[in-house]
Amino acid sequence: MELNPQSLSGAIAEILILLFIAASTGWLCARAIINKQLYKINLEITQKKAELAHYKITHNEHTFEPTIAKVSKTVYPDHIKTIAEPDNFLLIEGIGPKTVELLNKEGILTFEQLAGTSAIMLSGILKKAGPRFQIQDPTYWPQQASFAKDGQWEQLKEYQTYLTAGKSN
Amino acid sequence: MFDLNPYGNSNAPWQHIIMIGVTACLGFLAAYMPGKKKVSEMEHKLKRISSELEGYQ
Repeated sequence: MELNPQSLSGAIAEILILLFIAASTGWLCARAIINKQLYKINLEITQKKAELAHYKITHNEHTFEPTIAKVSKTVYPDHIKTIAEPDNFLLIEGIGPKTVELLNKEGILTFEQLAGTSAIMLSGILKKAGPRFQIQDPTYWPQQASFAKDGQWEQLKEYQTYLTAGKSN
Repeated sequence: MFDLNPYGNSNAPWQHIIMIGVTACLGFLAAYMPGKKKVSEMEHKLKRISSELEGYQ
């Protein structure tokens, strides 16, 4: 290809080709520099991401147990609550509100538990609680609790009448 | 192929060199400015990952 530099079109074409080559060279240089920088950063990002993923997995493994504990906490208390719903011990002759509190504190919450506790053991609990409770006589509490446990309210009433009559005599 | 100075003008080579240099600079800037923006974005991303990583360490 021959260009005539003495004609206007030839001169313009020569200079345009030259400028295009110069601009392209500059553009390619810049791209090379930028690509190098991007490659370095991308490499670092990949490494950090891998490290982060490793830490995240390790962290999840550590928090796995407490999550389970949390679940069991949510489920377990509901179960306990249904079992541990305290019965109304005030229906038992000789038991007052303070004694109910004391028995509940000792883990005796239901009529079944009270019926299964011997009078001697109940005396021990009352003795341990202080002189205020020591005057109480728990001898007939397990029997009354046994009636209440079975829902034999008539027998319980009769038994309590008998006890009250005995006391008054 | 090219005869950039057919009349033998003594100032022509310097004019050509300046013209080519400026064009090369413009070409360089045309690619460098958007590229630099992308590099800044990636650096910001790297910083974010690094700070997240520091939180775990």
